[in-house]
Amino acid sequence: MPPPAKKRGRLFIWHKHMELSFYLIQALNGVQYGFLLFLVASGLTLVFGVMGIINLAHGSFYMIGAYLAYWLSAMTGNLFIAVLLGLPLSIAVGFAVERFCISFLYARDHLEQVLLTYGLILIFNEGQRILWGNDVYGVAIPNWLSGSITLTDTQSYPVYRLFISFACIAVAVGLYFLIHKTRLGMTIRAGASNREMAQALGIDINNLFAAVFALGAGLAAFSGMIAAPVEAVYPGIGENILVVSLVIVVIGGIGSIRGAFAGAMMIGLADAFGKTLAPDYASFIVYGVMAAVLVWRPQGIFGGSPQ
Amino acid sequence: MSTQPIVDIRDLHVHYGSSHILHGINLTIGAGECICLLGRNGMGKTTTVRSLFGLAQPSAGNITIFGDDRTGVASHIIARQGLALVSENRDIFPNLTVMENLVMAARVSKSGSREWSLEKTLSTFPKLTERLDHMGDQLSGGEQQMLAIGRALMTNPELLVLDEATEGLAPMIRDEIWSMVRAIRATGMATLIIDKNISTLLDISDRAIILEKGRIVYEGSAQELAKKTELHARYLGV
Repeated sequence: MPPPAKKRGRLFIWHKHMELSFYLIQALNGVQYGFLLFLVASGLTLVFGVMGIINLAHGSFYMIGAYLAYWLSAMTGNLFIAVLLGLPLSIAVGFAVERFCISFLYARDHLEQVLLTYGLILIFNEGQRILWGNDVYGVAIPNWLSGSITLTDTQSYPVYRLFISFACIAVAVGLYFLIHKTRLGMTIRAGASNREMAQALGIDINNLFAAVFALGAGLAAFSGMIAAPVEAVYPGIGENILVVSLVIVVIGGIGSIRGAFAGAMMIGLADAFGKTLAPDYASFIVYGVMAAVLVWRPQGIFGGSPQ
Repeated sequence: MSTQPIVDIRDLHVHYGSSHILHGINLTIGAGECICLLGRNGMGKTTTVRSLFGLAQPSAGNITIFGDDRTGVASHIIARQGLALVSENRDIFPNLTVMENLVMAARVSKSGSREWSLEKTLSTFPKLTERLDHMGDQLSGGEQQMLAIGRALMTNPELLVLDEATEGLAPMIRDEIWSMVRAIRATGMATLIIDKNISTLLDISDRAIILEKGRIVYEGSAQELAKKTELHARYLGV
């Protein structure tokens, strides 16, 4: 019988998972995915919290962003130019969708909102098939971001993934500043809590809602654009992110941006560790986290009292 | 000074579903006037105010503001004509601080005046100065009412509408609110006030209107109504 110390040593070698650098890389992956999910989910929760709209087509803006990143970077040869051109275009699409579709739903119930926004998913997906077909595309990482940072002798971490995290942090800080430190943010929060009183004080709620919806669309599209080089661009990309975003919004508390951040980090980390530590259960873990949170707090982590 | 009235309501009818709430209300508010709207609960006072602000849709009649027909217009457009509302529920934004509740409403008047700046509003309501960082839902009823009035003043209105100016407040706080209302009135701002404190209201106002089941049953000088105690008993239940 081998001595216990040797046994422990073997276990350590067999389970590479237990190396510190493994945890570090999974944590970095999880945080990066969490930041990306936060940007998408924050738009979804903002639109629901302020406007009371359940926008199932939110993932379609992520898809539009991803395809524009592919298409425009293929044309211009530069992802950043593609983002600069594609972002205003996506925001304009969001604005048009609000004006011509969503604005008719404010006085209607959630079922009708779900029906219309589901219809929009089908229209956007068909548009994607007509314009770009069913192929899977890759987007090139800009040269200066294509390197890796060495963590240990055997492990390294891609610079572009760090860039995604920093870009998301910058946008999240900007979003925080917009919502909490600007006059527009005050009117958004006022409109979210009491639409009628905000109007009676002279706030044009229709313009405010159009701006919030376009902002939400812009956040989703930006996420799709910067994620395109690490995730391939493929049909159905929007639905995948929509489902995860809905889970995050429910976990965090519907309408809460802080909640979206907490939920996105939980799901990002659970997904990264789940895929490597328990790959057989990976697809279940996201929903397992949601179920556990809902048992603990049915209204979500930062949600108000349950109705 | 223009003689054009700020508000001119003609033959206003409002229905809530099949209920006929207002039956042909006529109401004119001139510049600098202080008018009180009296009547028991459910007689149509708040509905009159809500329809003036575009929050209840008239079924017939006209609402003219500074000579332009604004019947059925969205309430933010009406507010921007120089009308400010302190609603009966106060409707403080609970998720905004006191400072944010004031700043979000700030606007120059139609004529470009910035008379009611943050400084002036806070000097009129010094209690709010101590609570600037508190959230809207952390205030007492009296503080909420001061904030609601301050927020309305920050829009630099021509007409301030106070629905239930002192409802549910302690007597000392009521006195404080009334002295602030007198101070606001002294600036020459037109006011339309609803309250149950009839004697104070008639003392402050130029003109009084009594509503009974959605109809105007008295309109005249507030001082004269103060003497007609039989009308108080008949229409106001006092």
